[in-house]
Amino acid sequence: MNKRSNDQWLADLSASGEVQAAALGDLRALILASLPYALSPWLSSSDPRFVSLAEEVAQETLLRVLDHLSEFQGRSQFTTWVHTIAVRQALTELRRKRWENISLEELLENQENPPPARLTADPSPSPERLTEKAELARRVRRIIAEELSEKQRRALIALAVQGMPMEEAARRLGTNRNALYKLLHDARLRLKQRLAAEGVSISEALDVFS
Amino acid sequence: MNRITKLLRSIFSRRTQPAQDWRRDLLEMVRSTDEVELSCDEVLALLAEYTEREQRGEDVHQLMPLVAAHLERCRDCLEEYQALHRILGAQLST
Repeated sequence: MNKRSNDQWLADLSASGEVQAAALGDLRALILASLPYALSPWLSSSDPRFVSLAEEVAQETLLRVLDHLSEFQGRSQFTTWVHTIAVRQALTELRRKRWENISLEELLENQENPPPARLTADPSPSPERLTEKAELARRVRRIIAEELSEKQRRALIALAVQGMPMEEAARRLGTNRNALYKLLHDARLRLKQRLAAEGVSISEALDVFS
Repeated sequence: MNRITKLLRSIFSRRTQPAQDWRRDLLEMVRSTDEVELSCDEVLALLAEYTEREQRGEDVHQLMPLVAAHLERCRDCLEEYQALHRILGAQLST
């Protein structure tokens, strides 16, 4: 296969007929060759499900590449940019397939009620110390409850369950990955500002939960 | 360790140890929260450059700190970065 420069890739993919077809064919081959590496932690290339997933991903990636060709800014190799799109596509698809049958209720059981904060960190806690700590614990929990919206709380609990991907949590909350990220960023910022306003250092707040 | 990974390890009840309170992980993330953070799509648009520069030995934590910070918080983006890293690594060795 001839190696194309970034400009050659752009030119060939924007062309028509055989020139474009050849470029697309080469790009498809590149994507298929890279997917075993991309997916290796989760799916072996000898797995019977691999081939159809790879084909699906390659197809979708080529479409996205053509659609977003003008967004390529030349800050990397063109092929790396394509691989990035393919990787996002592949992992999104894999996550979706893995999670679609899992019931949220099963997962969220027991996440709502935390265990009591262990007080054994203090070698000989005095009654005053225990009360102080319990009081701070109550305060921190209240602050968190006040600063988080219901949606934010649900999102955080869902993500706290081992392995739930952002897209899955987003889907269940009726939103998308970026919006979810922003939602949680907002929650973290509000909490940071509120704790500071209340004169509670984060180390103190963390201490309550250890 | 990636903070979202820690958040995700808040243990489901099957283990014998008590479940770690999700609030603890939240507070740890609050500690490193910045006013300005990139979204997942914004990071994806920069990931090719980030990964290539890193493979060339550039100090991307310094040069592209917003991307680096997002990868510390977001497990999904971290996985995608690692996948891209594997692909580029394979290319280098052929």
